[in-house]
Amino acid sequence: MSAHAAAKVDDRAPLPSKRARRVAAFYRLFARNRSAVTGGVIVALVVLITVLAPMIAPYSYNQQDFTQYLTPPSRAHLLGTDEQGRDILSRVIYGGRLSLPIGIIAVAIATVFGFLFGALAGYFGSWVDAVVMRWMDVMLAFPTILLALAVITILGPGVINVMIAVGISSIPFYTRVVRSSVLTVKHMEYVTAARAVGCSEVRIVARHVLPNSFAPVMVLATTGTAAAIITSAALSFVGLGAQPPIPEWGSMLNTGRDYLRHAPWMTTFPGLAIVVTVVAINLLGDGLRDALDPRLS
Amino acid sequence: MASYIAQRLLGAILVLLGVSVFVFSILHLIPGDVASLLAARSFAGVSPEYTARIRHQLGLDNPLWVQYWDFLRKALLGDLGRSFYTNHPVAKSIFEQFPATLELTGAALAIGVGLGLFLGIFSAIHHNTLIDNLAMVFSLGGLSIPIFWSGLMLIYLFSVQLNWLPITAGHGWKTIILPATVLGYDAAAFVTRMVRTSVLEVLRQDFVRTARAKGLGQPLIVFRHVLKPAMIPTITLIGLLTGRLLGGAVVVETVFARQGVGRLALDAIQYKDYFLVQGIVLLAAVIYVLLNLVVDVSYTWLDPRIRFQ
Repeated sequence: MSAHAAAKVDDRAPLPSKRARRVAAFYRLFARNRSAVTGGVIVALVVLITVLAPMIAPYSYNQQDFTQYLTPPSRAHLLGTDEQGRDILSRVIYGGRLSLPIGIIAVAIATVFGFLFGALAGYFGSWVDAVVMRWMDVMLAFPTILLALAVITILGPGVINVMIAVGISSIPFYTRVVRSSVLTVKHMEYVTAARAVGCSEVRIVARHVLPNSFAPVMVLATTGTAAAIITSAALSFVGLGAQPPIPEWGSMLNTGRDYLRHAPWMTTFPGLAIVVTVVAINLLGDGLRDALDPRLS
Repeated sequence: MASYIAQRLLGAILVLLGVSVFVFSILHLIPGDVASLLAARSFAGVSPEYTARIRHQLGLDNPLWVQYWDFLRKALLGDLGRSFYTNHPVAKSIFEQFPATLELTGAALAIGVGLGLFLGIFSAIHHNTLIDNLAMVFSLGGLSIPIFWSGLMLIYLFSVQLNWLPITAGHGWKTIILPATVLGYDAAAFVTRMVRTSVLEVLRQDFVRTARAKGLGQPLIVFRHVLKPAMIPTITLIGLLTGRLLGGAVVVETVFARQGVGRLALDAIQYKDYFLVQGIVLLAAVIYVLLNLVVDVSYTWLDPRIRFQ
């Protein structure tokens, strides 16, 4: 084939699909949003630091030095030490290994059940929709943290139960978003086409409806992770989550509260870790929302 | 309008019935036998006879639907049982603590709404300017700074370092400043964002352009034409915020060692005082649902489209 003929074939190459164009537009919009990119970079750094904690942390989170208790930030202990002479920096770094997964797993629980209930309500409608959504209204009638407290009353305190409690109390928000998204998607032509070629209802929901309802849930899950980290830390702070000596940002603040007058660094730095992480996740979430639906920005 | 109110009222009653089912279920979802747990706490010990007597006293030997009906009937009459721990009536214990929580959440709501309205309107008027950006940073801070940390930091600054305000709760107006500010800032972050978005949307409407064409100044346009339509979504948010504030009170009351329903709830969970937990959760949900009902009904005043439907 001559070079001329090859060029002719290239000219006739198919245009990128609608999906590919949408993905490209999303990346372009997201990359243009400086605060969102900054948020994403910080989140990635925080995750990296917590994953590499044993290599990065200057001390073990439980290493005690009774000659160095309640010492202010110094060269040996950059963020100071606590009441048992443990290095605050190391505990903050290790603390992320619990605080981040608690938030992420809580959101994962809420997302999975939100998808399930939202898909059922939105796709099947009728009495299924009525039952699911009225039950979600009931769950929404409880302030989030009080619903979480009610769940902890049933399950008992502890890290895993805090994840479950925060996850359960967030389910209604995800269900609502998935339902409204499914309601829009289920009337699309490709869903009608899938039904026309004989796809089962389960296949239509799993293969066509849910993947196309994913974008708003992704935005909610991102900002929801920030909220879940705060709620979980709040529950640890009031003594219902992680228990000492396990380092977790909320429980570290709870311990530091008793030493606020003489060792404010015990509360300052775990709190700052929460703030930096949550601000970064919120910036990332805002950026995702703006890129996925520019009308909302 | 009457059918709109009736519809909302019916919806609220259904939700409250669902709430009562959930709260009733708490006692039955707890692993183990509540009667045995109570018997174990008493001096009489866990004899089968004594456990059976407690089970009978609490009505736990009745069919589930009878227990639920009994729970609902008593709750409607204000009888939420007796505290496992203190043996005081649950309703009495809650209402002793309720004024302190109401004072805190009321003050926080006033700060949150006042500050949020001011900043939201101001940033919308100065859209895409430094003022707008600063207001958004303020709002992002409120969404991202945990109230238990900002509370501790304010205590350190204003009570420990500057010695301007008391460290923990006591009597007098000074004791409410820090807790209400912490909780109010959290609320203000949401109100600022919502008011800004609503005002920006209304400012783009045709009637605002007409008002501007007639020569009205910006303050007059905002206060006479923009504020009322912009308040509709904001009022919804205020209804929803009460729930957040009630939840936040649990944490703020702990940080500032204040009396209140939130701290009572934590003590109840710690001592496995299940009736007290049930009572507090039920009360919070009822307040939340009723306030949102009031908000829904207030639309009839704010939004003429509903009034004339």
